[in-house]
Amino acid sequence: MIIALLLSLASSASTGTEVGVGYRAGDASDFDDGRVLLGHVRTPITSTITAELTGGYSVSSRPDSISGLAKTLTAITSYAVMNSADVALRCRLESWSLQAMADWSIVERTHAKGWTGGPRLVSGLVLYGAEDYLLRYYDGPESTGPVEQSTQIGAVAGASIDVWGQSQFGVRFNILNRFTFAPGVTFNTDEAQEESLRRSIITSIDMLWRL
Amino acid sequence: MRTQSLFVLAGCLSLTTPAAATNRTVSGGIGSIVNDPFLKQKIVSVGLQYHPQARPNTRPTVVFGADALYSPDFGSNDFRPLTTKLIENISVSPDISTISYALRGNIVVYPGSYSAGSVETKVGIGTSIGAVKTTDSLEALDVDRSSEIATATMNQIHPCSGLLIVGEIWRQTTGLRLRWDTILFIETVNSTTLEMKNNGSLMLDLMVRL
Repeated sequence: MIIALLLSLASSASTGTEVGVGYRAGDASDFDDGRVLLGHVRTPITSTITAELTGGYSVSSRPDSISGLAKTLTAITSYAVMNSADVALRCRLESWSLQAMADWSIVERTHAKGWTGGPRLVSGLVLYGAEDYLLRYYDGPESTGPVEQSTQIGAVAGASIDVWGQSQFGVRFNILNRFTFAPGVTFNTDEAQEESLRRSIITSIDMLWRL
Repeated sequence: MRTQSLFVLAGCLSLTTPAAATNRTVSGGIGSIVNDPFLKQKIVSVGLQYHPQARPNTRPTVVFGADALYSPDFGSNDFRPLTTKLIENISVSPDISTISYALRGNIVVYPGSYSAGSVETKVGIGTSIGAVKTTDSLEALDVDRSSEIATATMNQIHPCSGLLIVGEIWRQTTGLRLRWDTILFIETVNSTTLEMKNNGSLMLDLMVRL
């Protein structure tokens, strides 16, 4: 799909190819509260299916982007156990990401003029750089690391809602489920860090330009 | 303030103007709250929408609506793994309250719509206000009904507001709507803790034009 995308870009830029930039906020239910800037290249494969390549870079400094939820959980857990030095929450933070996706619109909108818009179904794969930190609580939350750096792979599936005005500019809102294998929630450093399938909800907003 | 009142009055008058062609839809949907770290609540909803403008294709369209949502309480089955771990392994009880039901009115603005053959798509953004009832989980608080502090604020009704982003696909009189819907409110948990909640839900609605 990526090769088809690049070939299509190279051959013609007047077939509905779109480029864009976006912003992704942290997931409120996750330990990573990093702000991510996104760049998109999209090209139609058929009249209803569009392929997309998205690159993301976390502009938040790490480990400051560890979420307030993680810090609060570490604090209350440290108070609850006898030896708070044993309490350490493993937090996985994203540094970069690359997503290859395809979206499907029921209605053909590739060459439409004027106001268009509607929901699309999205699915694809994601590759991202992960940095793992250990969060402890002494007088306050203190993080150490990264204790491990890795490249992770996952799947994304969800929906987007886009709207295009009279011009070639569009705005898109995305709601994606990201499925990855990540460390389970453990607060004790002696406890085995087993990875399990984890789902996080990613919302982002994009500005798109049709070339 | 006076200008705002005039706009509200004009909006109310437009609802009753005989010349305005009317268009009503009903909707029913399912979904879940997706941004709560402790709970995975499921939601069912029903709604009624009123379109003062019958032909929305040439200008922004304003749609007035009302909806009722209900979230069944499945007890500890609604807990996420993190919540279960906190309660069972570490004996730490997060302040958990679940949404029982909500009644809201909303206004959604559709900048335009697009038709291809017999299929029409629309995108809108809006806001809602209303009331939401919440129920605290005594199990998560690790208390029983004898705790007066916990039961005093166990069931509450709060004013709420929210943001709506919707995308719709219509074929003749039937449509599907994808809805990002937030419910913002402030509540008291265990008689002692004030919490501001901003629950975001993803809903899928079936809509029918009457």
